[in-house]
Amino acid sequence: MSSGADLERPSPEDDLPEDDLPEEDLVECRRVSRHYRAGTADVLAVNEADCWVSPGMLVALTGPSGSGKSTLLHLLAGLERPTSGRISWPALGGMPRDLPGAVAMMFQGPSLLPDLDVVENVGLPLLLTGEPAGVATARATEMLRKVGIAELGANLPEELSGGQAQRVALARALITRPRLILADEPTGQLDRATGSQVISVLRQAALEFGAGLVVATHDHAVADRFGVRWRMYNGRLVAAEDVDDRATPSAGVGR
Amino acid sequence: MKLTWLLGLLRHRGPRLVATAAGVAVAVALLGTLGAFLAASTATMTDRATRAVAVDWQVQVAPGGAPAQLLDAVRTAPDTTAAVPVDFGQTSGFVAVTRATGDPAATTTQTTGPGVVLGLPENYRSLFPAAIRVLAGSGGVLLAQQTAANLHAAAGDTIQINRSGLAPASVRVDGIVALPQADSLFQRVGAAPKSQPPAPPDNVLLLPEAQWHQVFDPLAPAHPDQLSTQIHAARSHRLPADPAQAYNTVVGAAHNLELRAAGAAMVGDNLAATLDKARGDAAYAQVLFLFLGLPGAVLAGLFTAAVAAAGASRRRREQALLRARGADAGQLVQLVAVEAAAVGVAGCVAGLGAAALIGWLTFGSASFGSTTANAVAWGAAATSTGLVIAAATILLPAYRELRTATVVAGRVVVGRAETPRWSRYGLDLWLLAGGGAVFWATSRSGYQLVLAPEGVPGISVSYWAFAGPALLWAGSGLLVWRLVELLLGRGRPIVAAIIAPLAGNLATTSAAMLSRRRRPLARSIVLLGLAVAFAASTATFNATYRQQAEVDAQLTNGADVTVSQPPGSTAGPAAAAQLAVVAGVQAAEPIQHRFGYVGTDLQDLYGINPATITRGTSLPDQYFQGGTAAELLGRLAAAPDSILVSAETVNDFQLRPGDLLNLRLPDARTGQLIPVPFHYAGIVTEFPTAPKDSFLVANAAYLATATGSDAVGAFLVDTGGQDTAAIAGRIQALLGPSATVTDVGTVRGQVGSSLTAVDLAGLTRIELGFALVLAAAGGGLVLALGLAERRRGIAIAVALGARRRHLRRLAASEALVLGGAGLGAGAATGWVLAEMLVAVLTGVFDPPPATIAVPWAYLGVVTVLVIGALAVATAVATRPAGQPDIAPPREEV
Repeated sequence: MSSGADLERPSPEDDLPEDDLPEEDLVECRRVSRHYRAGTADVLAVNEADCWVSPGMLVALTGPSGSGKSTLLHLLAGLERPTSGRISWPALGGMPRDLPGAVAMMFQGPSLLPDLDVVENVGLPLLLTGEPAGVATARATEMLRKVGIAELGANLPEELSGGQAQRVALARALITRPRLILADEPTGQLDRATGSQVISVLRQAALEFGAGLVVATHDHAVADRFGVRWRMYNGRLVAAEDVDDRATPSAGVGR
Repeated sequence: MKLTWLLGLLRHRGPRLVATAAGVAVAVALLGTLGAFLAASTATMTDRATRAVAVDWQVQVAPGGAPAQLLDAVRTAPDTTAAVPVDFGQTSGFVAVTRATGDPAATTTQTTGPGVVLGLPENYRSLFPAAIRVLAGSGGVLLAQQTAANLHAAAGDTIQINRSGLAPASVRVDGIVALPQADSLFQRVGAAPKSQPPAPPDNVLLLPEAQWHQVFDPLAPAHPDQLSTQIHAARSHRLPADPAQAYNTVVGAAHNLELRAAGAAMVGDNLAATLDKARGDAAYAQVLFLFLGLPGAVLAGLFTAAVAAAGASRRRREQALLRARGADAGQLVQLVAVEAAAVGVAGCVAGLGAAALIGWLTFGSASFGSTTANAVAWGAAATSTGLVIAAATILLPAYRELRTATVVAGRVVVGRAETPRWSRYGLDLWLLAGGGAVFWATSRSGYQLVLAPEGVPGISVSYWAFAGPALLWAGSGLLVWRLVELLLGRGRPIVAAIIAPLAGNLATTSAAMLSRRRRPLARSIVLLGLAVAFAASTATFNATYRQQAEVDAQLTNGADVTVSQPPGSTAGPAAAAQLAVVAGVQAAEPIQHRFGYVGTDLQDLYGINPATITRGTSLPDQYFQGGTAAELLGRLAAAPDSILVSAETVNDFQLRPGDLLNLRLPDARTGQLIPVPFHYAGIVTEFPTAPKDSFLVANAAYLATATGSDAVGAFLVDTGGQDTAAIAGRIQALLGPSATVTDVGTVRGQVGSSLTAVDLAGLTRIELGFALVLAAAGGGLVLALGLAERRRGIAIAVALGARRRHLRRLAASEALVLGGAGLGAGAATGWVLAEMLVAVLTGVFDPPPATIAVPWAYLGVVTVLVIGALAVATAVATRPAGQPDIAPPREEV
């Protein structure tokens, strides 16, 4: 079992055949920190995080609001550069930005392009990998059927509920069969049953694609469905099984 | 709270606020600069008009009147700076006996027809310097240039003045002079314009006052009708800057003098006659401001609205958030009002500053008006307009949304907005139809935009003619909007096909995005189209005006340089060889000038060589009717006795091609009129050096044979348009002071058309400059702002794997649609507008243009600028993809 701060190599998930596992990690972070300025304040969103994600690894990332979960996911997705430390994607063979479709990110809150309908939104990542428009449309329709919202294909984002938009975002994240799936509060706007369905779809897709999955969540019920749990607190990343909610942040492991 | 809000806006939305304020500034600057233009124009119009007047008043002493008393009355009239008596005496002719050319021992005697002898006080030339130009010799007895040529006389020669019933009087000529304003000098004072003599007398002699009395006093008892006296007066030119007011002042003073003289005087008011024309020019200046300037100000307002609208989504979201946090409508309105006020005030300050700077650089005046009150009024009007634009584009939409929107509706609305009411009712088509109707009504022949009847204080300006272009402007803008929405809606597959070369596999997606954004995109296209149309129509109007000014100068002068032969000259076409060798002369073409009777009409007749005439001057097709210039010259060349006549003559005599036309022409051998048969071959409407009314053009060789003389009237000299003044100087030096040599450059400055007094160049310079700014802004800034508004969407696309090339393809597709449709719409609208402006403002052109002149270079600059601005906007908008942090904006994701 891997841990965000545990520098020992983890053993593979019990339910994955050993010979299916590649040797390299999908992403590795070494003492990664990320500062940014918010007005006049200097915010240390992520503070010297050490972590890695291997193929087939399913991780729940918990922590209070503002603890740095979203920033860590952005760093893992290659959307932000660390202020210090090193981050790499050994198994991908390059930066995510150079490998369209290899890393998928589900953002917290609405993230659909308002000028595109649902099918176009879902098919866009495929188009960006160079697929023809016809192929993208067909696979987007298929993916929408998989997440159970095929009937919404012609709708515009503004015509969707929050939950529907989140499922469209899920379909869009999975359409390229990514190797690393990063989901920021994917169940935040969903009822428990739908949220559970979404998590199931994510887990199933990760296993099907042989991908790593990191889901940031506030929901303990969701977190409990993951074998690996990371926790963020004041920018520090600690392994969930090593942290006591009542403990001080400095008690995080890996230091 | 308001200050905090404003500081927050400045910190986080600074560029957008600056762009909006820039739009306000452009509108304010344009209006302010136009105020400066009008101020400068009207301030100098009276001055420029009056400066050219040689003699302000020519007060005619009534027969039997007392000149001395009238002189006193004129001298004591308010604002008279000087007044002197000028005597006029009629003579039946002058006689000169001069040495024959080539034989110093022999003499020849020349006699002229009737003439006029003026008696001038000694100080006349110093009091009225513009009235007499000395060409040779000095003061004393001065012979007019043409008379000297007729008599073959020069300074030092003695000539005789014939007197009715008395022996001729002899005088010794001291100098040769030109009388630049002979028309007004020899006017029939008090007569209606149509009763004025068609031309000043051919033969004029100027005598010192005492000498005149010696010569003509003996004539008084027997022939008092042949003598008259005028009081020539110089008046103060400190007049109101507005020519209309100045005209009324001057006319009032003249009437006052006539009243006081109780019938003993009649004022030939040259000052009023000049101001009468200038006030019409001033009225045209106002009209031009309206036609050429106002659209720019409206455009700047629309531009500001577009910039403000690009931030509408952001403002809507902020309002929704504030409402959700408990802010009431009043507080929200106050916050938006703070934003509008900040933008308005900043825009006004910047705009007025820019206007002052432009006014100072262009007109040498930083004032917005000719008087303080005028300047304050213009400044206030420009500022008010700026504040109104800020309120209308920021406060009003926000207020309207507050009244109708809910927090939920604060979400971005795209794609499926309902058809606007104007579109459902076809307002665009109604506006276009209305514009067409007004245009038809105002462009009919006989319609006068500015009516300034001579002698009538009031000027009538038909401002409603402006409704034609205005309606066309508004209608075509809405029509473009409709067509763009149609294209981007139902025509989405077409758009996808058009942008496919740019967008590649993203073409369908890009077309879908454009389709859903068709409302703001249509607005941007309309804005760009109107900006381009504004630039195109203004530039075309300007180019056409310049073209016609050039045509006018060429028509008046005849060629680049023209050498006019004095009446009676017998020089033949061979003399052209003498001119052809002058440095810079490319060709010298002789044309004959005769007078011939068509029935009882005396018309100018020009004899040309059809094969070579175009070597000396240009003959555009528009000078002819019923064929091209080449065709009609070909007809002349084909039959020696063929003749081109005016349309009026064709109409009067019901001529058909080939009809026989017998003219009565003077035979050089006998001096008698002889019938000469011609055959009608076509219609000529304009011809170099020809008058504006009826005239005739025939073959020079045929005329020479028929009349026994090949005497040339003028030589048309082609210099290739280069160094006309210098070449004219060389020719003048070669031929001596008696030759009349004129160049097109000098003539261009003299003739001008009715707008010479209006600094049209200044106006169009402002217009063309602002048009460039607006066209670039209409293209680039609006696209950039639209793309910036979608920064979050771009960031999401990047997060989904979009590379910079993908973003470029998407942005370039939008730029292609915006630029292509905008430029296309602008070119079409601009062309129609230019045609309409030229037609409605036809009064400013002299002669009216047959076709508009297209300023390709300027239009090329506009096109390049728009494309460049779009390219820069596209590059800037897609720049974030190349930076390290490509996450969607933190606060929004």
